[in-house]
Amino acid sequence: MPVMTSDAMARMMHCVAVAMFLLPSASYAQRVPEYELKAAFAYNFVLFTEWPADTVYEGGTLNICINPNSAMRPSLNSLQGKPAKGRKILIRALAVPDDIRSCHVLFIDSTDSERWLQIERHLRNASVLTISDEDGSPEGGIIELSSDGNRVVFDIDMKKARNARLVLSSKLLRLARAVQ
Amino acid sequence: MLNWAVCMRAPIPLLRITGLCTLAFAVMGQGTAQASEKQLDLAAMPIEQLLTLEVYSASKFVQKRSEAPATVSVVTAADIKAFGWRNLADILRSMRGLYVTDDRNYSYLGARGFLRPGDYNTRFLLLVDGNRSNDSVYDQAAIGSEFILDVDLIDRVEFVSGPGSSIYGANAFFGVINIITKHGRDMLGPQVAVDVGSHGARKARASFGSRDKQGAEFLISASGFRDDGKDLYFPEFDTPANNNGVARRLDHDRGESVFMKGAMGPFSLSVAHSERRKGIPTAAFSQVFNDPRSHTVDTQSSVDFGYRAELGSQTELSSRLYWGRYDYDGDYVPQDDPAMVNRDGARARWWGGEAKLVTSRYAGHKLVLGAEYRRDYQRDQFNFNVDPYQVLLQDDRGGYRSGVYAEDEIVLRENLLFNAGLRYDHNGSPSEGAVNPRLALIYRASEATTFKGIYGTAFRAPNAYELYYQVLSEGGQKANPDLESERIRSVELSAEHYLSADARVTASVFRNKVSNLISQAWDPVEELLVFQNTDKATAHGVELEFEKTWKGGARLRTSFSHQHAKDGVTGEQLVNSPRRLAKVNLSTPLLRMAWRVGAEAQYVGPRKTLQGETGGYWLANLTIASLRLAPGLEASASAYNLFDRRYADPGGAEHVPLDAIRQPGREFRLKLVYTY
Repeated sequence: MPVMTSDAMARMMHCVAVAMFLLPSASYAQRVPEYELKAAFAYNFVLFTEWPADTVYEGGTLNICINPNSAMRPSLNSLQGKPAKGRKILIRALAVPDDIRSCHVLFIDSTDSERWLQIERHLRNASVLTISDEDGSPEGGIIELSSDGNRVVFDIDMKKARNARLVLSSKLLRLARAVQ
Repeated sequence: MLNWAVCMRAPIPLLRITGLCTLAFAVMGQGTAQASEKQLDLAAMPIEQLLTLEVYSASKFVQKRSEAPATVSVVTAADIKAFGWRNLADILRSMRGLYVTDDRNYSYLGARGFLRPGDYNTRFLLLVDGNRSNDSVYDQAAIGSEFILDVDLIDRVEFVSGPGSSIYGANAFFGVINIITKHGRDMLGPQVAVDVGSHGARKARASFGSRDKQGAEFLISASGFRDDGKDLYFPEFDTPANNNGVARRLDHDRGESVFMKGAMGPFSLSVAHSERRKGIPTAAFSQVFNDPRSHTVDTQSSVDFGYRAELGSQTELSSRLYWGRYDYDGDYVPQDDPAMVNRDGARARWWGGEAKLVTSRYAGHKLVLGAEYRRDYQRDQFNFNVDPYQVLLQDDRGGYRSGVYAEDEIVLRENLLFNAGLRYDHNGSPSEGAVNPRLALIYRASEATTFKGIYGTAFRAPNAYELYYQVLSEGGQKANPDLESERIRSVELSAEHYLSADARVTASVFRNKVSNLISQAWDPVEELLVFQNTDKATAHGVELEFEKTWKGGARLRTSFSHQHAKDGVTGEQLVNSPRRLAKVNLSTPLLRMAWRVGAEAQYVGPRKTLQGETGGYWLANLTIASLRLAPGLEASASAYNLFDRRYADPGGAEHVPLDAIRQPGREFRLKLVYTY
């Protein structure tokens, strides 16, 4: 290969640029962002879940916890301060799972796969509504979100819900894709 | 919006690069506002309606690198686990444009067609949590089994390609390798890992991590490994006197390392230590073949104390004080006197400090100012015959390096960014100054497409070995204290395009021009080897990379490089410079995330050796990992060089009569990790 002149380099760059613009870029007509829809689902799940009477609400907030590195976090943050169950929602970035029991809802996704064992150990049967995203943990949460084509659906694990002493409304059970 | 999360976890050294996220903020600000309007609507909708909505997926890439003034490759702890990489060299060879040569003692890194025979990675800067790991005698970056850390402790590896002297000073010549270690929070509780592999390889690690409610973190870890090694056959030595060319039990490798890291409020402290002892099966440096006395020992220690403070809401000061040590001892059995052991070695000690200010208080600017001083208080080299004792070299000396630098990221237009950096370095021994700039223009043509143009220079000061090593016996080497620094000038144009939120193509063209290269030459008058600034070289090429992640958790990273590096004097293709490189890394979960399979393939094209050529080769590695075999237990099984391909790496002048060095055939490893 001969020495590349700056001219040849410019031509080459031009080709690369043209080639890239010609590639189809996806169009998303009339659709909503995935994470924001999932955040809206999380909000609805809170509305349709009953926590045990002995649940502690420190500072009077209902805490939704999420891994600080989760891509869901910015979307979830927009639920901050919204009313639910007569309390205000607080989104907490949970760097380590050790104070997991102060969470009322825990969102689990692929950023947690490395620390799933620790989460599970700290969680035991605490009354925490776990919501897992499909590519999340080896085991799903009480509610597991997943995609069905371009839509978001959810499954419910009743055994886990009972162990956590959480009561999910019949409406949720009816709308779930599967209840096991 | 993903950018934001990324910025928050950007480690100190990357702040300069990902700091540009500030711009991304501005650019994406509008999008965020619109999104939150939609958000309000969505949250207010009844759940029945939510079920009917269609979504577009969000990007799952860990980091957005569009705005960095360089091309950056990133490997994470999840990749290290998924592909079963055993050392830093394994990690680096999976990255775009990089290749690794192994001479069964050390590993040597090549980038963009450059891998000088006999260069101990002096043209790469190796940073561990921002602290320079290259020693003060050889400027060596240790990337093989002698690397100071167990790779299980690595959170991320970033390779920033191209000249980095405008920020990092000397040795950031072809690129900067940035190792970010795990925190206490990443390895909570006690954990043990054991692994066993082919040819008597075994390794154990015990770690403990903690973090309290106030956020103070602590991590301690100790590892040890033994590798008996295989008996190796070298046809070049195949005579009855040389055990028919078989080096018996000489490829042994063993090492121990400890690592401690703590952080409390604005303070951080890390301490690392490692020792490695490696047999030399190749009879390098004209030794007697198959002699069990031949080996090297590398010992490294480092202490790094950091302090970070916020000065107002938009300004951050970070500073560090560090101490480092590197000892090298090599026992060699010379051919001309097989009864004797010759010991070659070095003692390097240094301490230093660095302060850096990052501020975004001036609208449209992000300014970085820094200063660094390092005292190399010991740069000693020695060489002696053990018995009868005879000193051939004892060179004791010190030195210092200092530098000041500034970088500004200027927002010219909403979608146009100019990044300018400049650093002045001064070395005390020999006294020399160097100025190195880097200029980058980053143009965001659309939400999906970014173009970059980068110009930069870098330097490498001659190391103590090249300057002062002198053994005036026959075939020895003469010192040359008049050596000057090597220089590189580089131009790179790159384009990054998102085909969809989860698929990205990166393309770049580059041109490197290296001058004043330090090369070993023969002085015919005194009949001695000597290092001189004689050579120059140029390289140009193209790199393409494609990355994609899937919803189910599968990840693909594949790259292709085509380059041409030639000697500026003779015009010939450089030694150990493949024209083509290709990499494919695919990992995917199986059985509801309980298992993960990582498959990788690498191609290295034919390379010139000092005397001939080595053929190109394809290599495949496979790892199957269970994330949870039993409560707390992870297991993985790996096969390296899966198809048992025969291939060889070019050797250096010290390996004559070996021209190319055969590389390992198929090997296996089984690893168990238990977390209490």
